[in-house]
Amino acid sequence: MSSEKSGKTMRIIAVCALVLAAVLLVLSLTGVFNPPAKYKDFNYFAMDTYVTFRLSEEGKNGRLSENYLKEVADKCAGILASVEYSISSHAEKGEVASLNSDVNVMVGASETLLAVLNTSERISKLTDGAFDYTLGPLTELWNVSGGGPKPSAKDISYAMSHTGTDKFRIGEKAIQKTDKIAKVDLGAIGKGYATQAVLEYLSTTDVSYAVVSLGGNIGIYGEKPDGKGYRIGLRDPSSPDAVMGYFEIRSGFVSVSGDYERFFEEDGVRYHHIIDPETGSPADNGLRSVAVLASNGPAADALSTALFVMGEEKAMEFYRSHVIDFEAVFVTSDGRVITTDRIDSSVFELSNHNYKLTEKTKD
Amino acid sequence: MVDKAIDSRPKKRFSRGDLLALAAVAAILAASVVFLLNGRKGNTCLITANGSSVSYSLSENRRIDLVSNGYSLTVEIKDGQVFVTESDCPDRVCVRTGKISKTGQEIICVPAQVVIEVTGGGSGEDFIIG
Repeated sequence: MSSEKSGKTMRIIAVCALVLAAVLLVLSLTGVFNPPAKYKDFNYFAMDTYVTFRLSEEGKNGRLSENYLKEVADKCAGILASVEYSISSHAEKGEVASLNSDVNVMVGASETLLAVLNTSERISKLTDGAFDYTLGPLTELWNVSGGGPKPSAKDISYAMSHTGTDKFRIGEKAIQKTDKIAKVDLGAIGKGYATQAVLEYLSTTDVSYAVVSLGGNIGIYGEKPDGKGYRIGLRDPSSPDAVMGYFEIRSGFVSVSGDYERFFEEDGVRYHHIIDPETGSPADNGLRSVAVLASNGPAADALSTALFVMGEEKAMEFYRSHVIDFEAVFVTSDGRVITTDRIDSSVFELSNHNYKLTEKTKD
Repeated sequence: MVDKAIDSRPKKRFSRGDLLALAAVAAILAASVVFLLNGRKGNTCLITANGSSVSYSLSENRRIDLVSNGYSLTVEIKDGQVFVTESDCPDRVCVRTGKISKTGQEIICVPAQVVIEVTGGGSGEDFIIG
């Protein structure tokens, strides 16, 4: 009698334990036990693009008020505005407008402009000119954002004769031009620089973790309490409303350059905004987009353009030369996706299986 | 004494049926927890206008201006919710529907022929790049 009773009690306990275990399993799987990351998003239009600052509500010393976060976000936007003034070709009264005007020397350049030019110069050398910050005459000529039209070969070669890093000498305070017509275009590095500048500012605030998304550039600051990375969808070049795969990223910067971002079409041909310095025309080597992961914002941004210009083979050679530390994902026009050596399925996961992930070949 | 009285009640063994029932309870409980947690917020919303559909992540705040069937609508995605902030359609039902965020909820604008639907998914991204 009593053994039957205790047996029954045991069974009830066992079943209850089972139910409890099931519930606990479900709860832990859904991440209820990890403190969820809590953010406030702030959006602005700046640097010709839509900008999101996603700031943690959690501060280094407790919860942050909405007023404080708004203040921080406004300061972030202020940083973008000042970077824009220093390096944007579109800022009419900005520094680049002065530098690009008919002058031989620009004195009293801001620290920002000098820093970006110095970094540009370095990356230009390291990439053997695939990244070129002196393409101003060509980008003006092509006027891709303004819808073209396609310039004549004669105009292209004239513009090309006024490009090249030898046209500029960047000093400590002054910038010297050996060619008055030469013009810088920092569009391929500026947003990456700005993203990093915002993260640097955030590190001085009480914000614990944050993401800055700035037109093709994402920068991650701090660590989320749930220990997870951010899931970042990579746009599908063939249908830019859709995502073709996902990055899972915990830190650093991601930048993407693609031929679908800005372009115009003429006689059925697409002319995009990524100009190959060697041809003076939009890079045409079978790549549709390049995503770069790096620990440095301007480098990630500039490299996404440089690798796009290099094309698949040269880009992989460049990667293996270890001149700069980065990882990358390449999307080709024939539907292949190539990743660098340290990108595995935990970092990038293909979701559109019309694309084929190419097996890595190691040499 | 009391024990004895209880013990003397007629009782069945703990049958297979009981176990099944308990297992079912457990399953329902687990399923409802999953449903509660997942159903709370949809991950994406699908906006259909002019016959074409575009999916947006609800975790990415944005404003979408669209023109459909001759009317202009402004759709806003904010803090996991999607809603129509402005519309020049005659009945403005779409604006008055308010904010939706749960899987299956819809905002329908009949004059502009726009449907905004919160879809589940589970592959919701934090950001989209490129």
